[in-house]
Amino acid sequence: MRVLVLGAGAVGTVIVDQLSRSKEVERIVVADIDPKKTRALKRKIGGTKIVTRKADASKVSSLVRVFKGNDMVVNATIPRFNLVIMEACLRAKCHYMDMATGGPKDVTDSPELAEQMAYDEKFKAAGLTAMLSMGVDPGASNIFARYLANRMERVDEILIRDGDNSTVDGHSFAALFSPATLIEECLLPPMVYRDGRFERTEPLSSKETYVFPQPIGPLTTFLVDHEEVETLPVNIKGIKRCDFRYALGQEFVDTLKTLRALGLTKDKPVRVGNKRVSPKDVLVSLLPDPKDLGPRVKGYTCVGTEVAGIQDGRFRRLYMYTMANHQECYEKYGVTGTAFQTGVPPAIGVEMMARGEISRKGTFTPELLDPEPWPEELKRHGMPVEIMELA
Amino acid sequence: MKAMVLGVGAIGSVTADVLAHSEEFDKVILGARNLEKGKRLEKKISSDKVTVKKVDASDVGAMTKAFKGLDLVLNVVIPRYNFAIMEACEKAKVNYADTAWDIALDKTKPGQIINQTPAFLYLNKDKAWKKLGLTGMLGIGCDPGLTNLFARRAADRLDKVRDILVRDGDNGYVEGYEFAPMWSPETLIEEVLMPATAYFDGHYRKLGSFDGKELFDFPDPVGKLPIYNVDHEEQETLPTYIGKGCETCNFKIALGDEYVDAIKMIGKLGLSNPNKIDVKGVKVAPRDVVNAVLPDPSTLGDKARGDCAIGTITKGEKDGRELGYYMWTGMNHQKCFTEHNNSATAWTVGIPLAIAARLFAQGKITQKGVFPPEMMDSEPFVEMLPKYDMYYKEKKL
Repeated sequence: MRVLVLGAGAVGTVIVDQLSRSKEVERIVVADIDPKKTRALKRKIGGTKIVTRKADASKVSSLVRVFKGNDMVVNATIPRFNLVIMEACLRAKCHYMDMATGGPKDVTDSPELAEQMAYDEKFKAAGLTAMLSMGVDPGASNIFARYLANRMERVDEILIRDGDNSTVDGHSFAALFSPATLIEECLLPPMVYRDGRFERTEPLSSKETYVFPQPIGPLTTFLVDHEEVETLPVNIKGIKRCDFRYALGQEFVDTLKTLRALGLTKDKPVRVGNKRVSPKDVLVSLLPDPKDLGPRVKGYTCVGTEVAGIQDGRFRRLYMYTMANHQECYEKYGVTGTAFQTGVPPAIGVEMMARGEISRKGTFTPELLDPEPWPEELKRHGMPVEIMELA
Repeated sequence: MKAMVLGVGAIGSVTADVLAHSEEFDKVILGARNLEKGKRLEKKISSDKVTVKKVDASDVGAMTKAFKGLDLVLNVVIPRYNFAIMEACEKAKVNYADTAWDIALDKTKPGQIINQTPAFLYLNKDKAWKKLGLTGMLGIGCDPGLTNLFARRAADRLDKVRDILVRDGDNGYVEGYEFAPMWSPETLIEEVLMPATAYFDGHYRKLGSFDGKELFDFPDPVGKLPIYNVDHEEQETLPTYIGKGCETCNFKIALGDEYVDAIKMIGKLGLSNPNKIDVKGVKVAPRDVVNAVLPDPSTLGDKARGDCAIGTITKGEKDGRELGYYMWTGMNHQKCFTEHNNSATAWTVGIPLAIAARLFAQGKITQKGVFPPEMMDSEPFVEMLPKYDMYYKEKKL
């Protein structure tokens, strides 16, 4: 299989690294708007499979030219470009995969999941597959939900819990993935599913302690707007409750609230002298770039899905999760645990496509895949998966 | 007398308006960098004594020309330009007054002794100005200004002075805003993040930021507020000029917890950085961006509520017995806006400067040289304050 990975950031690096060792993949094209990044990535990973190209993810026609001749495109850019890249895939006849979606459009300036799902017919008609939100969360978290749900007679609740106990030397307000996305996600009114209805709640409210598996332990979590909540209640029938909680330190939350009160989290440009600049861009440029944090990130990251329901006639609450140590990942792969966890599932997805194990056409989210082979596949790629019974 | 009010911001408009309606002045020139802004103020004051002139406060040569023939220049631009304006005054032989100086010039590290406070960079011109027969009044606004005069007023009633404590309290808030400083956010953030100067153990010294937190019971209707050491002008001169054995002098300002948290965060994240950084190809200073997102204080007047109380505690001995005074002034934000169409912050600074100009014109301030406010007689100031709806109160401690 010939694969094109668009975006040579931290996650793109992990995907290329994983695929460079796959026998199913004969060629990997790495494309980015910055040729320095693609060259550096090729140098870092080595081997003969990697080809570098320059591509502007905002222009369909230029993407079509770069995509042609590849079987599949993995979009490792930011969600703003999702629709453009999907459109280019259709024209270049490539399968498509991404790791995140944007929205709500009026707030984030990125297309929403529904807009991507609207491409379903077109992809089906072209005989192409578009796997959406195939990272770790969303991605592995959706697959975990399906895996546990398959083992229950009745599913009541699906709760995604993402916790990280890491500290970054010298920074109290560091983001392990795109700071712009983190700020945006945290300040959006989170979507939750309660008693069979979708509703939005107040951002950065509803603080709750969640006990993550050792060595992380209890962390303060907040409801955050996330992809899983939008599709799991639709695709896994009968559930009453679904939400996403992310562990955020109190200091981080207070800082974010203050920044919001000051107006420094706004995207809309303000006039500064004779220039116009977005306050959020200024804030983000003052924060450390996640890819430079590397060895300074110390601790563990855990992504998992808690599913509650009836199994063998009795009520059970199970948490299926994957955990990574940031420093270990940095030593092995040169990236944080977060980037590693996000990049592995798409690489597995590509291999499964190549082996013909994923044959579904059209656009769909990961809970519609067969979850059974995934725990083994993830383990084989260095991502252990565990299931824990909760009281 | 002919005066120029250099700077047509909030304070300049208060001072210029008073001068235009005072018999001592037959000509009031508004010195403006932005001519349009100057013209707007001219129109607002609507007096045939007032004219506008474009003045660049960084250009000594042009200012010297513009100042020639004037009797007095009142400097209400930002303190960065004080040296240039004073130099132009020397050259044009014109008397001078301002309401603040550049305290940020001192770079002493927290915990260390200050060799010379920035005040003396200006005060050292004293001899030269005396020779020229010119008067240079420094820092004659509210605080610094009235607070220094209060220290002098109290010290004159004491044999020995031990403590001079300046306390600036404000329970004000702006309706509809979570965070809206009532004066330049840039100045507020800079002042509060800077290590504060204080005088104790025989030296001017630098403290850390946010040091010396305590609750201070401000007079009604302000009430109890948390106060912190902040860098300010008063403590740079009072121990030297009041003398009488002064052991301690500091300035503390009331800051709400939300302001303290916000300003600490601004400092920690680098948002107070005055140097330009690259933001997706646009070069901007983070500090200017913070300024740009916060509401412009000059547009908040009608929404400001609450009161300020600004004063000085002077403690010492009289006839062998402990004695002290708390002397203060204050203003209600809403009342000030309704009755004077100005924010209390601008009003309380602009009025003392205008009073100083009037007293100078009346021949009641006759000293030559460059001096801080505590070298003037407080009595005529205190007498004139009520005329402009500013009260003076004192209480024995």
